[in-house]
Amino acid sequence: MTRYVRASELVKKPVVTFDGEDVAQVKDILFEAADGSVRGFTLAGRGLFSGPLKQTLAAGRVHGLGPDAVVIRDGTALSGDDQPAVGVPGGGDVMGATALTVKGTELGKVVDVIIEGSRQPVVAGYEVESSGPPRRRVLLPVLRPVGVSGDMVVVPDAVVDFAAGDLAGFAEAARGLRHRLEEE
Amino acid sequence: MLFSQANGRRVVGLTEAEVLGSLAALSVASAPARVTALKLKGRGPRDVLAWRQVESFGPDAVTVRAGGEGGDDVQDDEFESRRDPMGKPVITEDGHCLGKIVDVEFDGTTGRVQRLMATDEEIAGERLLGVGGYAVVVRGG
Repeated sequence: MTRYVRASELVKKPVVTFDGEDVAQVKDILFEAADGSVRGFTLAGRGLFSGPLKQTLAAGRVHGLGPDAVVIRDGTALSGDDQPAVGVPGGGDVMGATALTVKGTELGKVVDVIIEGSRQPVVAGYEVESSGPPRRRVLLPVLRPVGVSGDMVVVPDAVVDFAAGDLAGFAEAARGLRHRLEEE
Repeated sequence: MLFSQANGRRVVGLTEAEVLGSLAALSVASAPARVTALKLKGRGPRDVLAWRQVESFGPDAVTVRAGGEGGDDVQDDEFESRRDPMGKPVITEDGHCLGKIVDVEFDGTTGRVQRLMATDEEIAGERLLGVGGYAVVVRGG
């Protein structure tokens, strides 16, 4: 079972407590502006006509996360109205940013973020669309980006050797990259 | 005992010596995973029973000590339809769906839930974290 999920796939997924209640659904994923890590989630109500919630969910309060749900222990994992929100969307939002290697090769535009989520969600890589032609989408494992801004994600040169075509292959690619980095 | 086999079985009140209805649904709680209440379908005045009122899950009837007159020991609130696992999606603690609950295996004497049968997998009762209005949540991936 894959531990990886695209950030875009998490939108509208239910936030489920151990008690089996869907207390909210994911509205948006918040990224840390400084390093691009997952900060948390903004939420919406579950009803057909319910709008956004004031409550947010910090990444540290997530018990587990997968392609079908975000699981939390109970409703107290959500921040109340009195607590500061985990952030505003867009801070470290890398969608549309240019992926560039340290050596200066442009890999394409970031179209999605790959999140590893069996436990607390962490960014495991990026889906990048090459400018082509032909336009091609690849998944790049990025254990730690060199630098992140709304315009650009700078990645180590080694990630180019571990591009994957889909999420199933991504797990293998991430393992390969980790192995390579340990050797260096 | 599989719920699919017990479903629809006559429920007989021992003191009244009468059919109270037929078994229609279970209410399940976790830690430990167990049946807490039964819902009946039928013409009787009571349509829910606490598990502790069950005398026996017999081959032809479920017998219960429902108490004819007083009925004080009948706590209707113990059956909650949101705690009925049947047909609900099974979500693992790491956010994967294992399909929907198609059957529940429980011990007819103690009420312990032994297995949850989902469309994609059979799940041991010990893995149950909770049954709610939206889903059945289980431990492990």
